[in-house]
Amino acid sequence: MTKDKKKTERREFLCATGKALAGLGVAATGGTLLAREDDAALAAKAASFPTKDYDWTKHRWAYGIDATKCIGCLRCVEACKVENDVVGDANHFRTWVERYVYLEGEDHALVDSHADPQNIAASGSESEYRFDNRYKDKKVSKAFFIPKLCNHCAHPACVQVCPVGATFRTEDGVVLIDHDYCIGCRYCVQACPYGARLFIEEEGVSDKCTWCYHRITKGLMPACVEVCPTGTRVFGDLNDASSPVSEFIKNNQVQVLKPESGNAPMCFYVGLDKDVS
Amino acid sequence: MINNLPKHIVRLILLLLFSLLLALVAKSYLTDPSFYEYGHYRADTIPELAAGEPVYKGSVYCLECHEQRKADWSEGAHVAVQCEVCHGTNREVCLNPNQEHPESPKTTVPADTIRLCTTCHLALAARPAKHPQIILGQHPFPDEETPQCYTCHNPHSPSNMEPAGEKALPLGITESPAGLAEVVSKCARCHGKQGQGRNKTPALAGMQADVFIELMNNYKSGNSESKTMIKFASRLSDEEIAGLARYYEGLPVPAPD
Repeated sequence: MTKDKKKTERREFLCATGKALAGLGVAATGGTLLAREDDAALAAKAASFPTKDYDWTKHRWAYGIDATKCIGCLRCVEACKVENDVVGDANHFRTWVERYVYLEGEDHALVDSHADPQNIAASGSESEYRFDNRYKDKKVSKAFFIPKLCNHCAHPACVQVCPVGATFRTEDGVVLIDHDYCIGCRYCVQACPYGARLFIEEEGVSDKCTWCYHRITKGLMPACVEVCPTGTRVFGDLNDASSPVSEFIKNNQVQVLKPESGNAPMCFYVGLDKDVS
Repeated sequence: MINNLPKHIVRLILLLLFSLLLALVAKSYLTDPSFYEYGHYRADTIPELAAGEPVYKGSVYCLECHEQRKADWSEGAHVAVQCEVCHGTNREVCLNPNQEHPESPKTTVPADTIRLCTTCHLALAARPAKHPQIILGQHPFPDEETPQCYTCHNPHSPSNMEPAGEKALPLGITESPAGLAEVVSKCARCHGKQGQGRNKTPALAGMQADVFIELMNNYKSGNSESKTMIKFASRLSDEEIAGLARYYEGLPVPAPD
């Protein structure tokens, strides 16, 4: 008798709770669905998105690098750090410049960049680097600088591997990171074939170049392009045939890094070489 | 049909449905409202990222006030070098536009100009050959004790071999003639800031106005061997030439060396 009663109570309780929860759930989900804006409203919103005077559907950003002009002054690297408050040590860069040197009689290039201790020492500070004049007494047959940054690929591997939707490509062609949603798993750091992503240990999030999204949406150039004294770095809108980058692509035979990776990079280079990847 | 199913299967199905419902409810509560607005990401993050205040203002911003520097800089090889590349960003001012610039700590060029200038101009193997570069130890410095680039080069227009310190205008003249500041700065690149002449370039200071005008008109009509002067004079109007003539006539004749 007691056993039966208990059974009934439990069943009633479960039924009642189930019904209540189901009702609540349906109401909540329905409410959210109804609250979601319709397509027309979304389109209207997109016309001034992400800022008031900017329509992200009207732009298609791209970047050009003429490596034959680069003098390795690293003003771009410094400007990037200042503009974007990038972590201040010589292991965190959103953009950097590499030096390729072929000594006489050598088949392969000697490459040095920001991680090189001699270059860090040459800057006189632990947070910067500066190209050490190490080849002044060597016989150099060929040498050049290659600036690098995130390629803002059209088919970015980093976006595909993100398990939480914390990184994405915007309508205007910029790959961004949502630091609030990033869980710091570093899959994207592994997935990028260009080593363009960095990890901020203090915050536990991935970070990368944004093409200075806060500048380009205001009609300015990214900081690295703004300060480049030689015109090595150019930037602009592919939708505008007279933009610097459209002219750059039209007037030069451009290449991209690692085209075989299938990422479809949007940084176009002039002056690459067989050992550059 | 459900009645025909064994009891434990019915319970299992109900449990699964219940879990599904629970998951959906949890998702609708936990997902950011802007998450699927444009794609598989939180749309609100984009305005957040776009809202940042630019730090680098570009030379246009600086030249609004620093007109005098513009004259030197805009004619020289360093015109492609933005002010902030050497002077740095005045972060306090840039991030707080309400702050008056002159009262704020002024950013200055690093005192060691050899260190600064060799950032771009030290001979490195990988630098393009046409880029001007020096080999330290081989480049001449007049003052061996404290060698500095600016003792010979004007940093705003480095091919102008005139000490940058020589900024003051000569006796009695406080500024270049009205509207001619830019032209005078061009003359000064070869003839010196005081019109005193330099190396093979003749002095202009103290030259009689009618002689000056006659010479300039000769250049203007192409009647000279100096292609530089023909090109330069052809861009000047008669009023500008007259203004320059009066200006240089009024400058004190340079003392012979």
